[in-house]
Amino acid sequence: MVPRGWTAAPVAAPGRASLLVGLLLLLLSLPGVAWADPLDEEARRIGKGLQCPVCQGASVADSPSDLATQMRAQIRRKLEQGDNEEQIVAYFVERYGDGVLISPPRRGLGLAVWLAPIGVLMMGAVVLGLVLRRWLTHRTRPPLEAPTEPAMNRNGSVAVAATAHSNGSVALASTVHLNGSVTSATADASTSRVRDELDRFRRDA
Amino acid sequence: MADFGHIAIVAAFVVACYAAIVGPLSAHLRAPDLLQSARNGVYAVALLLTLASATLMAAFVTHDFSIKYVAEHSSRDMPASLVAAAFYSGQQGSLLYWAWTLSLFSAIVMLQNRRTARDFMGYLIGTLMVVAGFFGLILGFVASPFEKTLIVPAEGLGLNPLLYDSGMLYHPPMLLAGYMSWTIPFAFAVAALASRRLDAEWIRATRRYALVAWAILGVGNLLGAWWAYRVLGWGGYWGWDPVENSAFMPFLVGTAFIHSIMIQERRGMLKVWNMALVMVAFYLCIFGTFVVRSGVISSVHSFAQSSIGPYFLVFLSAAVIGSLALLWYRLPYLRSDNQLDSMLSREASFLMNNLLFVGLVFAIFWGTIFPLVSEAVQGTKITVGPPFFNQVAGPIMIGLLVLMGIAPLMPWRKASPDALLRSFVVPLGAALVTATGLLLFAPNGATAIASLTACAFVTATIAQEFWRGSVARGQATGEALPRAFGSLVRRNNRRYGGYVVHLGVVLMAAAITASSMYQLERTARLRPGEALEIGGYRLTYNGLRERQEPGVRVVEAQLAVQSGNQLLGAVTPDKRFHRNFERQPSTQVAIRTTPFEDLYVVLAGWDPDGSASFIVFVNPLVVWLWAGGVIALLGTFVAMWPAPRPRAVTAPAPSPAFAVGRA
Repeated sequence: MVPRGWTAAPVAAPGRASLLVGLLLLLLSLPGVAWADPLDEEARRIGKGLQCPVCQGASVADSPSDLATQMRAQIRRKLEQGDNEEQIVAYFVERYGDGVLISPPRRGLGLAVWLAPIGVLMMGAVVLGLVLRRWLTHRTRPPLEAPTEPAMNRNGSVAVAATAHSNGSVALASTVHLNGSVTSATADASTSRVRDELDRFRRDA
Repeated sequence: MADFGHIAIVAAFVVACYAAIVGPLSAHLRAPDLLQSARNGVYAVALLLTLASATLMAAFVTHDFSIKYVAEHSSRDMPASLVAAAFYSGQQGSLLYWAWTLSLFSAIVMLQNRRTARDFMGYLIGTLMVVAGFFGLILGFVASPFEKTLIVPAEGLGLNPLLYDSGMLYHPPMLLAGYMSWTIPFAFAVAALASRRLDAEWIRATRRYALVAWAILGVGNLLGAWWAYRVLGWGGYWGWDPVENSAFMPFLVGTAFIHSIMIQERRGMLKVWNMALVMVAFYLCIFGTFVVRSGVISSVHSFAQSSIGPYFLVFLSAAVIGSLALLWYRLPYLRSDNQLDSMLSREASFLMNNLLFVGLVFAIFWGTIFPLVSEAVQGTKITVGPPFFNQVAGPIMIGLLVLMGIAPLMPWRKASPDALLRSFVVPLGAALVTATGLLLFAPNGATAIASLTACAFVTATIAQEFWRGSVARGQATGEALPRAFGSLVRRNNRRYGGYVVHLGVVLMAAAITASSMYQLERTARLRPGEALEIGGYRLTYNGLRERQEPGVRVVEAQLAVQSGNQLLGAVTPDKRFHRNFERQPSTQVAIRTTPFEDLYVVLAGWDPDGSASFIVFVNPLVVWLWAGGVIALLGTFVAMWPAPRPRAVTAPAPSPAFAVGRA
C-alpha cells in the first residue's frame, strides 16, 4: 500500500527559492480560485460506489492504496473518453466481480441482502401482532400461577402454598418435613400438578 | 519477568476453573463452606490477573523487549502515555485486559452481593468463572502476552501508526470493558435460571449492572466514532465497518433490554423475552471480541490475524447452547404475571421498540456476515458497504426516534384516548413547524426532513413532560417551579434521567442527520498560493512543511482560512510517516469546529512541484454529536443514582424467596 506520491516525491523542504516561487505564484494567481474540475468530482462520486479490492472497508475514492489510485486514474480516463457511469461500473465489475460494488447488486444472491432485513422485520411485526391479539382476547381468563418457591423454615421444613387454577381451583397449604412426611391444612390435591409440586419439594428437601 | 506473568495467568486459569466447579457445586450440595471457597477463588483470580497485568505494564514501561508482545507493539521513543496504552493495542494484551477487568468486576459483584442467596451466588460465580477461565485458557496456552523473543531486539517495532493517537487512550479500554461488562448481567440471568430464583429481585439487581454495561459500551462506541472522525480522514465518524457493527449490535440489544425490563419490573411480563435479550447481548459481545481480534471479517480494526478463532467459536457455541437449554428447561417458571390491557399502553409501545431494535440488529448482523455467507454459497465475496446500512438502518432508526416521542406519553396499562390526544398537541405542533421550516429553507431529501421532524417531536414531548411534572409537583407541594423541578427529578430519577438520555440521543440524531445529509465536499489540487472555496470558506494553500518528531516524519500543509474578508486563522492537516511503517502514513485531519459546523481538511497527497491535493468537507452540527453523548451519559448517571428510599438503607426484611439460604 504505497500511497500516491509519498515515496515518489519526498517533500523538498520548501527552501528560499521555492518560497519565492510560491510568493510569485501567489501574486500571479491572487484572484484565481482553483475550481474543482467537474470530471474530478464525477470520478470521485463513481469511486465512492466502488470497493477498493485490496483494502479493508474503504472505497476507491477514499483509499490511499496503489490500486485505488490506479482505479481513480482509470475512472478519470474513461470519463474523458466519454464513458458514462454505468459503462465504467460495468467495466470494473467485469474485471473484479460483483465484490467491487460497494452495495450488493439487487439481483441474485445480492438481492437476499436487501430483502432479508425487510422480511424479518415484517415477520416480527406479524408475530408481534398475533401475540398482542391473543393477549388482548384471552385477557379475561385468570392466569395460571407459576410454581411457587417454597419458603424455608428454620427447622428445615418447607411450607408450601400452591394455588392451581385448572379445572376449577385447588388450594393447598402443606408442610413438608425433612423426614418426608406431609402435613396438610387443606389437601385437595387431586390434580397431578400439585402432586408433582410436592414431589419436587420433597426431592429438594 | 515474563515467567512471573505467565505463571500468574496459568494460576488464574486454574483457580477460575476451581471456582467454576465449586460455585455451582456449593449450590447443589447446599454447602456454605464451599461457597466461601468459591468466593475466595473469585478474589484470587482478580489478584492474580492484576499481578499479570501489572507485570505486562511494567514490561512496557521498562521497554523489556525480551517479551515479544512488548517488542512488537512499542518502542523507546514513543510517548509514555502511548507506551502504557500499547498494553491493549494487540490481541494478547487486549484479551488480558478483558479478562483482568472481568475479574475486577466479578470481585466487585462479590462484595456487593454478600447477602444474596447462596445457591444464586454459587451459580453466579460458576458463570463468571467459566468466562474468566476461558480467557485464562487462551492467554495461558494459545495467545500468551508473555511469549519471549528468541533474540532480544535493541529497539521495538513500535505501535501501528493508525493507533498513534490520543483516541488510543480512551476508545479501546472503554469498548473492551463494555464488551466485558455484559458478562455480569448474563451471569445474573444464568444464575437466576439455574437457582430458579426468578422473582423481582434478580431483575432489580441485573438492571443496575446492565445499565452500567450499557453506558460503558455506549461511551466506547462514541469514542470510537470520535477517533475515526479525527484520523481516518474520509469526513465521517461511522463507516459501518464490521468491527464497528459488532460493537454497535450488543449496544442495541442492550438498549432493547433496559427498556423491556421495565415491563417486567412493573407488570411481570416478558420474562422469557428479557432472558433471551440479555443472553443475546452477551453472545454479541463475545462475537464482537472475536471479530475484532480474529480478523475473520476484514476491517480497519484487524491488526492481527491469529489462531484463536476456533476457540472463540467453540466457546460461543457452548455458551449459546448451554444457556438456551437452561432457558428452555426453566420455561415453566417464566410465565407472565399479567396480560396486556390495551394496544394504547406503555407496554405495547415498548414491544414496538423491541421489535424495531431487534430488526435493526438483524439487519446489521446480516449485512456484516453476508460477505462470509456469499463466499460460502457462491464462492465470491459480495461487498456490503455503508449505503446498504444507511438505507436499511436509517428508516428503522427514524422509527425508533418517533417511538421515543410517543412512548413517554403512553401510560402503563391503558390510555384514555382523550388525554392522549391532549398530550400530543404540543409535540405535533412542534413537528409541523419544523417540517414546514425545513421544506421551505432546507429541502434536502425526505430522510433528512423526516429525521429532523422526529427530533423536534421528541424534544417537545420531553420538554412537555418536564414542564407538566414540575407544575403538578409545584401545585401539590407549594414549591416554586425551579425547586419543584429539582425535587421532581430527584424523586423520580429513573424516569427523568431516562428523559435526559433521550434528549442526548435526539441531539445526536439531529447531528448525525445534519452532518451526513447537509455535508459539503470538495476535492482540489492546489499549487501554492491557490485557493479553494467551500460553504462560505476560502482556503488558501501556502505550501508544505516537513518536520521530524521522535520516530515520526511529519509533512504538513499550511492553509489560511478566510470567511468573506475576515481571516479566521490557519489549518495544518498533515501526514505522518512512522518509523518501520513508512509505507502506511497516518492522517491527521485539521478540524475547525464552531457550534454550527466543522471545517474538515484532509491532505490527500502532493507532487514534486509542490502542489498538493486536498479533500475538504463542511460537516454541519458535528459538535452536537459529542455533546449529545455527554448529555446522555449524564442522564444515565441521574437514572442510576440510588433513589432516596428508606427501604434500601435498612432492609430489615429481605424477601423470603431470595435472601434466605439454607442454614
